[in-house]
Amino acid sequence: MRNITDLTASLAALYKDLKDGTIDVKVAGEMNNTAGKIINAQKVQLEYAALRNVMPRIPFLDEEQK
Amino acid sequence: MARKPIPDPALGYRLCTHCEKLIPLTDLVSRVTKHGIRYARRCKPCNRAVSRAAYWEDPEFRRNSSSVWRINNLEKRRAYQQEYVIKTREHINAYARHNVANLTDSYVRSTLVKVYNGKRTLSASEIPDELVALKRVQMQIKRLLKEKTA
Repeated sequence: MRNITDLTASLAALYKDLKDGTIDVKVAGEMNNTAGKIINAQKVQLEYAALRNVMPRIPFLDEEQK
Repeated sequence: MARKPIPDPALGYRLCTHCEKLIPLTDLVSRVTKHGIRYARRCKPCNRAVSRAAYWEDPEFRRNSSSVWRINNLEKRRAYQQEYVIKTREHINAYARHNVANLTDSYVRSTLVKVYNGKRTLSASEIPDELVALKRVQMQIKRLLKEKTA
């Protein structure tokens, strides 16, 4: 998982597994919780850039970064 | 040619941006706010001319936009607005329920924004679409988990 697209893809896979019942609910909950933490971290970076009136340069949100 | 510097309002004169003349503050368009009297950049005759010109560009539209005209001509207004649905609280609530149920873009974006003292930390345009997509999947999983554990 290197960028936001990878994380979205892995979360989509998690959703599918959870729906099929192939993954433990507790594990899925923890993984989803961690994803929420990552989202909030990106949000804080965006807010920081907005407050400084600068263009945000966040590697995680950059799709081309591999 | 550079525009003349605007005189200090404390002197009682200001440059009208329309006719570019020095006008006394009392002859400018003004409004009373909680911070005191606020003067516009346009003098009263110029403002009248501009608003008249705007009216005659599309009189029917302007009449229907005027609140005084609307109150005095309720029947005409209803005839004009027959094709439009007037939003009620029920409509607004239905839209809100639809947004929450279908995890629309606007709803997901609103969850990513915090409000401090009536000000939003981020505007909708500042949130990338990828982050919205990620948040939507995360919320879907959260809902599914809630269903499974219930």
